[in-house]
Amino acid sequence: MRKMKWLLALLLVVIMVLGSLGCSSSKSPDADPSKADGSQASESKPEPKTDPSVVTIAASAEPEGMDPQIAGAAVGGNLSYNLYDYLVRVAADGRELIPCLATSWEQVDERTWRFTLREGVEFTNGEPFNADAVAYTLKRMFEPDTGRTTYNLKVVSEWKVVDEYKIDIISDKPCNDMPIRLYDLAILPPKYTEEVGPDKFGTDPIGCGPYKLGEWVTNSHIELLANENYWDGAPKTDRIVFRTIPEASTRLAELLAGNIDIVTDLSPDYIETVDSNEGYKATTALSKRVAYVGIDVLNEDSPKELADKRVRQALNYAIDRDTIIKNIYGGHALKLATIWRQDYVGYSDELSGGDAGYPYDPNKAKELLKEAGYENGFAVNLYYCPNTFLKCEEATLAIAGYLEDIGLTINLNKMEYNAYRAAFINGQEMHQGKGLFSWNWGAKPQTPDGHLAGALETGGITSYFTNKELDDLLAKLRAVDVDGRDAVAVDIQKFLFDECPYIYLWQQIDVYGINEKNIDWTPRLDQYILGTEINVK
Amino acid sequence: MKRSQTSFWQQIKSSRLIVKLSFIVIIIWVFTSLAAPLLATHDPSKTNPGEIFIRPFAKDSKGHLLGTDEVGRDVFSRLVYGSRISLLVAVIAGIISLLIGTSLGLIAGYFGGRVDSIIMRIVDVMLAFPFMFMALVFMVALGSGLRNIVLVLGITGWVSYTRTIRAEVLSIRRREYVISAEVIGCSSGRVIFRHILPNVIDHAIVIATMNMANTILSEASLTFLGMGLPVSIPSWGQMIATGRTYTYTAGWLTIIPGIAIFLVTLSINFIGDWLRDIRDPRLRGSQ
Repeated sequence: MRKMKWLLALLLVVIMVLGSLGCSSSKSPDADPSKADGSQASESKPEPKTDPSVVTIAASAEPEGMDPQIAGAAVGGNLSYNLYDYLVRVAADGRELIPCLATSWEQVDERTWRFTLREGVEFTNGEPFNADAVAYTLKRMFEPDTGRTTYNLKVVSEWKVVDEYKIDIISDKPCNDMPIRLYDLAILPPKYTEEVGPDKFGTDPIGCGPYKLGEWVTNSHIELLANENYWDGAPKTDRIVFRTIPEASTRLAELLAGNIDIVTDLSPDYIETVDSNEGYKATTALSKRVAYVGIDVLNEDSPKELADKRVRQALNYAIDRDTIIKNIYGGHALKLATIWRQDYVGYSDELSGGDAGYPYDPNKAKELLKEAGYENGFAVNLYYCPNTFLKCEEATLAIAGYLEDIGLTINLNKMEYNAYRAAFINGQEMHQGKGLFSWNWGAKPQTPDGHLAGALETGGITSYFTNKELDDLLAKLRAVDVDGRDAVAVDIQKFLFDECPYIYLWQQIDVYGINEKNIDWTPRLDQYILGTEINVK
Repeated sequence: MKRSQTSFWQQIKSSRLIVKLSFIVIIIWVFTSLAAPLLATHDPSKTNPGEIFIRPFAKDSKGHLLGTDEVGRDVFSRLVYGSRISLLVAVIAGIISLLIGTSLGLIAGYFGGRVDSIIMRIVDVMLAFPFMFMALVFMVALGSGLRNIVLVLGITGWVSYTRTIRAEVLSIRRREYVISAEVIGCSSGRVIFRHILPNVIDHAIVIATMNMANTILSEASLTFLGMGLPVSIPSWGQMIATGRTYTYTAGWLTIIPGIAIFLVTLSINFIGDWLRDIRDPRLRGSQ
């Protein structure tokens, strides 16, 4: 009996020591067990290669449905951008507008835009695409039960079918950038959508995009098949399979085993591992997501100190963004002066680039606090959820440390994803969060309005800031004629920089793992993976 | 009673090597907990993004003996302060369970009848629930925090005491000295506390020792699942939870606190076994 115990203890110790050896040796590329696995598996498992026009993609979550007017976020978008077609699309870097179902457009007057539509396009069920389909899609979007109006389209007030292939879209206030705002309006077939109702449409969607739905096995995979009748010619890849793999390390292992061609949402820590395996490459691309720490100045029981502009500037001076980006992100994040991305109107390196931002200057921060009368610091809550943006937990802990360096007392509050969203999205009234919160916003390409309207303008869903001057500037940005937008955008940036409604951080860089042996692909700013952009080798 | 004649010290001296080693581990554990501020080389919560992922025992460790974690916190200092949390949780939660469990066991065993049935049905219900599920539900309801985790582990851990103590009380209940105490008119309280409790307290202490290890593991598990201690408190479970993401690239972040939990719980279990053995006369002969 006693001997048995000894043996058992010894066994445990041996297992533990072996385990620790295994972990510590994985740093050296030669001994990397995943590498060995990867090359062996791709030799012994040739299935993925037999059919060259299949691309398998692994994402971290599954969309709740495929109704493009309900399913948001990147996962839903991945499917929408393959299943449906749009009046306009944007180039991968988000800077150029590409005509799609709309072949041309013109601004008739300051509130009206006229779109000329592509002729001869059919939905995959045979319904014709025309101005009525666009009108129906818009109408459905504004119905409370089925629609989820995006920020970009909130400005639309009415629409008029001019003839079968012409439609006028009218805004209630002057609007100078309607075409880009239509970027996420997936056109739906009126007859079918009406017939099956929203629930059925979410599981059996019909569109006129380059792909159509093959099969959907819940929590396993979603298969898309090429639409042979796509107006731009059938896509080269016959089949796209989206697999759902929540755990990042499993996604990585599956990639290196040769079972997956594109892996999304990798941590920058894995770049070295992927690159050290022959035939695999980690690709990075600027993401639309901009990370920041929100400052609640709306509510009375948020620390009153935050209402002082000098305090908010002090918070910005306190953070060493360069060190965080260099060490925690391995250089894979782009420092910004405010929230202004390169693809936004009015961007310039001198004004919006990282070097124009608040430098790391804790002494200046302390001076500002002293000037504001809070020499001894104050206590403030800092809320976060680890999956809000890439490495949010590490970044938030580091930020908390920097803020404590200038004399603040930080109470960290880690929250669960859904609880966090419930507390901060439209949470101004309930006010569960008081103080600071790590957040991010992924506005659509080119137009900063999604972010500005949603998270800075008075009344935005995650706006904990209010300022008449800013609201006026935003209205002006929407109304001014195209040539005048740059000047207004510059004014807004100067305002944001001076007022500091946030602690400004950085623009996220997404990391993808790619099986180079099978495919050739460049990631996009908007994080979507389009079957038509993947070249199978 | 031969046992009381040999001192506790002599018992330890005559114990097996593994028990002696276990005592050493436990002494170190208690010592680091008490002397944490003296031993820690850094502030356990101080982040330093400039010095992340320094390996343990590295040449240029910049004073970080066991390296640093993903945000530059000193692993050694966190380990030392973490031992304090685990000791605190284990001891206080243990005392709560011991008090609840032993009193209910005494009541059930002594009074019997309907009281006994009710208490034992509650015990059955508690046993039928998966422990982790019950603890998670309590933590969700109460919210995370040191006080709450101690409470939850305390009020979910009493069942084993009640069962064992009740069984012991039932066997002592009919002994002559208990019956005679009752016959001469002692109150129930006096019988329970003067005549029964001293004879069952040994059992309770053995269970308490065994439970301590479970409590430490439960605290670590709950914290690992994100429902235990808040991030601002350095605990071993927290260290494993945050280090998990870096198992491939920085294994020491999980291995070091893992070894600490492993050694402490294993040692407690060995000591628990040994305590049970020395107070059981049937096993003493083989010692």
